[in-house]
Amino acid sequence: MDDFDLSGLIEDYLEDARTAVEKIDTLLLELEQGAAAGSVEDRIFSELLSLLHTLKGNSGMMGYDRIERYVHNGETILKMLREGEADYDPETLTIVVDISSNLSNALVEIAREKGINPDLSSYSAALTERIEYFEQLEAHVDAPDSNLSATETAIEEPADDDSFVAPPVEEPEDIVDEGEAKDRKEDSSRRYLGVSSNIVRVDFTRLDKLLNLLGELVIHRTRLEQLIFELAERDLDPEYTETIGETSLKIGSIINELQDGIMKVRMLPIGQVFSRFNRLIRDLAREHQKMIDLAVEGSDTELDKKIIDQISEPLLHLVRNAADHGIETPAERRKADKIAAGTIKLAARQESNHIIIEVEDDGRGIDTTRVLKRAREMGLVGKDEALDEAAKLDLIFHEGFSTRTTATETSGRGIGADVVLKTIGRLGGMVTVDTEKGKGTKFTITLPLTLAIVAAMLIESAEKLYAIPLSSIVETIKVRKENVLIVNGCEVIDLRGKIIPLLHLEKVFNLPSTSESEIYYIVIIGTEDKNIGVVCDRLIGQQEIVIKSLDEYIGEVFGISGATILGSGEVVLILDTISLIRYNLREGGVVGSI
Amino acid sequence: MLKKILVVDDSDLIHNMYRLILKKYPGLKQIDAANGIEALKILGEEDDIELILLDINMPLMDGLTFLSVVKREGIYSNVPVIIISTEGKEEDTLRGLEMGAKGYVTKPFKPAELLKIIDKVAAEYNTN
Repeated sequence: MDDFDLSGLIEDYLEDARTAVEKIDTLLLELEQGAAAGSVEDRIFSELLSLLHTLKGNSGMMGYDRIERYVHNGETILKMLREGEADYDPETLTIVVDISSNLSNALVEIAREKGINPDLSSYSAALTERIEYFEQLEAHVDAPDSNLSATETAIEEPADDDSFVAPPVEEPEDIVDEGEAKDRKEDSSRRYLGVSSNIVRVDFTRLDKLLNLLGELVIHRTRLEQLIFELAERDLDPEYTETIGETSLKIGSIINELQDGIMKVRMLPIGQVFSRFNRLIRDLAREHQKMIDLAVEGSDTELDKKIIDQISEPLLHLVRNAADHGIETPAERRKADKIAAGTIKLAARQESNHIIIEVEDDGRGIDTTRVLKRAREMGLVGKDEALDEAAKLDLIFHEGFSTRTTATETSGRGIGADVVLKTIGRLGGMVTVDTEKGKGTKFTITLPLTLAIVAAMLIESAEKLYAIPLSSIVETIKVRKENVLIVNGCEVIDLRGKIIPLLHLEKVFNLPSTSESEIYYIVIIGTEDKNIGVVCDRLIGQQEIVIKSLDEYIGEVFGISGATILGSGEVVLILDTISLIRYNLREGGVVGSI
Repeated sequence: MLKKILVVDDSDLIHNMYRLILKKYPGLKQIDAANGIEALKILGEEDDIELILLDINMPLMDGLTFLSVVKREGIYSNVPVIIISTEGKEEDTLRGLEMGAKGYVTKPFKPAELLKIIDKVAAEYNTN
């Protein structure tokens, strides 16, 4: 309310508000009587909510935000009482019935001192505490412990201490009096102590430390297994060796369980991120004068907290895009025979050892013609260069690409699809996009389940070892050199009808080329429609590796996403599959499929 | 230049607030109605109203009912309507837009936001 002096309207506000508060007071009294008698007429709730709603709007417009918030909380608790989600216990009733007098006092304050913004925060807090108390009760009755994975049933250990989590199931009939007295006493303790919970809050750095230690353990476990293997080969004391081997196995399996356990502790439901977008979508809709609904699926899909932290921004970019470019105005949508409100859907699910997150909208789809035009304007594509649909679509991921020439209030400048790709790539994941003109667009993000310890394939190329995360590998094949074709000067293979371009790591990393073997071992990496084959001299085998970041030491290196230490102590570089795929495209490699 | 608008809202305070905000349009006449029925009566009497600011949430005849009547009949079926909504009433706002309202703001809004929408809607109306 900066430019406008609303002080002249205070009298009007007070007049309206006083009338409303009087009516609210009468209704609250009726509510109290109804509660004592055992039932409250629904009419009382409708009238109360309507009055509060108007008062909230007026207070907000006048800048009395604390009154606004207090009234909002009042609305919430009343709605909960109406739906039976809250009880008419003495404390709640007191707080609710006090609403009218607290509001009345606030109005008196305003009347006395014009410039004041009455502070109702302690009353607001009391209401909020009640609301959360009832919400927690609801949650505890319905849902299993959220720290357990979705596939496990919640079998809670009975609490050892005296404080209980749910009311006692059955009291024997003849001890009714004692039981009642016990209930009432426990009720009052509960009021002060709150509901005991099995959930702890932990500083995440402690979990990181645990994970690091676990990582070391995994490295040494592998080393131990190797040593025992070598020991067995020496055949010195077979029985003794076997005993050592057994113990090592036991340790190994406990480490596996420990790993599972620690990973699980770090997992959080992605719903936390999804729910933050409600406000954003409302604001975006308002700004563009569009109507946009947010649909959410798979909120309890769990991800490592580190991944969740890093994924929020890319998701934000994609959601903004959908709201800015994807969804049309209600008028446009009506013309296109669509319902006036557009939908942006966030969905998450787990598939084997991946997490799939989709950002989908039912808007106008990506106009590849416009994309191509813009790319030509930006000099990314030559004037005469022809591209197929997939390649045109892929342009939006190009570094610096943007169709926006002006910034908007909520979106700033630029699409940021290139940033999204980069961020997801650094997490070891992939992003793909599907679009249909007039129907909508879907971005699919694939992420590995865990960050720190992953399964990888070790390969050797030009006498160097590399690790490729298993999550990026589509398949591995063996090919004779004579079966390799040359297309446009690039080596490719024909895999069941699909053309897959090949990549020699020595060429990518500028290393001397050594072998001239007849056999190519090829690791095919990528997604459904964009595959490349990494040529190796040898496939060493699959192994669990602990990912160590190199960022602090040598910064970002093209094609490398980190390093790992083998049991032997050898340092092996981990390949960054996304950048390798894009390298292939950039260098004029042949794009994917037939 | 905007000459005459109709404001439909059950709160006198809001009427006066709009009056203050709309001082930006010199010579603008603002007619107030407290509910849909009053508003329809006014539309019957005046014939040069150029814009309607409509509160969704009103007693006697609520905003949407009023809107459906306006859109049905006679000379005012094309006059631009801006819906004044509140958080939590998205369904109603959507219904209103589907019925032909040209824009919406959500209480509490900054005066500048309202002015922006009014300008935009009025401009579109004038070019048609």
